Amino acid sequence: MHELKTEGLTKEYKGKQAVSNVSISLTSGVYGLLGENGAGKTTLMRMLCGILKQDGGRILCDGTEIQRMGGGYRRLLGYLPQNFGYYPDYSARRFLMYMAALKALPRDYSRKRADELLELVNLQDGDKKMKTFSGGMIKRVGIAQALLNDPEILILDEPTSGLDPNERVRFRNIISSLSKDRIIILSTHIVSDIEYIADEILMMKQGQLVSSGTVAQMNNGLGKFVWEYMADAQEAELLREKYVIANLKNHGNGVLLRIISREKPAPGAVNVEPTLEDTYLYYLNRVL
Amino acid sequence: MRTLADVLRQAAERKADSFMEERKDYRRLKDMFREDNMELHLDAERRQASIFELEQYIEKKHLVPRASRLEIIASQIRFMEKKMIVLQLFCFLLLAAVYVGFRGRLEEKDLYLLGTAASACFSMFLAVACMQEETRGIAETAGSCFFNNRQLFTLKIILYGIFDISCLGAVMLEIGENTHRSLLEVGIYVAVPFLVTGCLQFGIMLTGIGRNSVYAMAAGGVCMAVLCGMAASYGRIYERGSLGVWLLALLVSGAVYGWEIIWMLQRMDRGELLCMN
Repeated sequence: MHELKTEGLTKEYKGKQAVSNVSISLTSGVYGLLGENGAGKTTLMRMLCGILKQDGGRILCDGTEIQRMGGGYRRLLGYLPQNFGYYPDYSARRFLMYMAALKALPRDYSRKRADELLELVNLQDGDKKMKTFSGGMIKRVGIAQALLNDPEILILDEPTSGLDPNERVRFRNIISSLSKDRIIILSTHIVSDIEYIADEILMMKQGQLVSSGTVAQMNNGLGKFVWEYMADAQEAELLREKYVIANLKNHGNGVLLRIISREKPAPGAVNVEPTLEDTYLYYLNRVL
Repeated sequence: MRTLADVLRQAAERKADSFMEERKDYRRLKDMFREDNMELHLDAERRQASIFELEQYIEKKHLVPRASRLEIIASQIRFMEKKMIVLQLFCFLLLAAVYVGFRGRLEEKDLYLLGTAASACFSMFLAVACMQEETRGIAETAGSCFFNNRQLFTLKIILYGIFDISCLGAVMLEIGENTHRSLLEVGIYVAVPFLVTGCLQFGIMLTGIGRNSVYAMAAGGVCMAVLCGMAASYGRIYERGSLGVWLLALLVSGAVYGWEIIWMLQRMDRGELLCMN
């Protein structure tokens, strides 16, 4: 079991703080990294993988800086980037063997592992060229390559994008089964992907870590800020302009609004239990 | 009277004696342990159970086997993308076929033209091959593996470099033999187009244009190869009087080429070549 720690991590691109003073401590479990586009999730993940050098701060694995560990740290690592590249003329099996060679795995072990992983991600066409694959199939090859070396630290950037609901559920189950004695960090926009499997949520906004905790802690933090209210069409429009609306559903006699607000938005509004999506929207729209 | 030599000899002998004594004591202890261990009877069942527990522990600890160094390099070579090598070989064979086909009818400047074309093409293929991970978007995944991008780039440039040097060496020998010029002189004439083409291509890569499209890099290489070929068609540039200019071109292009590679490796290390968003 390893501990991955960041201390005051900072990265700047052309005058913009992509990641600003992020300090986290990760032990075994699933960590969901939530944030809108440009929040700094991918930059943080790239730094944790050691492929992007930070401008400030440190990243430590079991107390040692990852740059100093070099290949020894990368042996523990499995990474799936958001934009996963591949050789189109390679078959899935050959591509996995290529990645296994980059991970310095023995050939017999790689062969066996490639077969196991193709079955795990439900990819029967392992010998067909990847240029014939759909986006979801490519993503599944990406997930498979991240697992080749049985990594103890698994970092997945938007792993479920392009996957259909069946595949997303399958993926969630794979992650849940792997999470014992491993650090798994996955970033996503799809809150439901991590709501049920993440042990801890890390929420980022504009390069900063704005909140962290278990799903229950995050939701409790929102307190009585989530309301439901049935409004007519005109009132609904006015409320939409004034408040953050988590959900809007047309009913026969009006519009059911799910509103996130510190104050009671309308006299007939009732408090409801917050979900992770509500919490996410709250932090997204809150001014820092 | 005892001399210093006597004292030193006696000390050496004493030391040798004590060394021999120590060795005897060591052997005696070893024999004693061996005799004692002969009386130990291992319970086969418990031994198996212990081995099984050890295997379970190893399984639980996710211990992944490590390949030997030879196996790592062999696997890298076996599974790396080889289109560029095949294209290079095809290019080399094509030029060789042209040379053999027109042998005896080629003038000195024609030989230099073929040599220049070979040199520029090889440089183009080398640059494209070395940057394949970046242009295909694989670098981000590859950089997180045991071998980082810098190491992969270095390995590729060495492998392709060895291949190119071998082929260009053959070209140089053939030109030198037919033009009765020294190998050094011919080497300069062949090396300059190689370096100049490479400088342009790595320059394109460093500005970011090449990262988005491998065709931009290849196009740069092709243009430079054509320019070099056009220059080579003027036989006067190969006169002895121009050697100083060639030497200067070699030094400058060599320095720029080396500096670009170093800069690229540094940027790879920082992740700036693939993470610019």
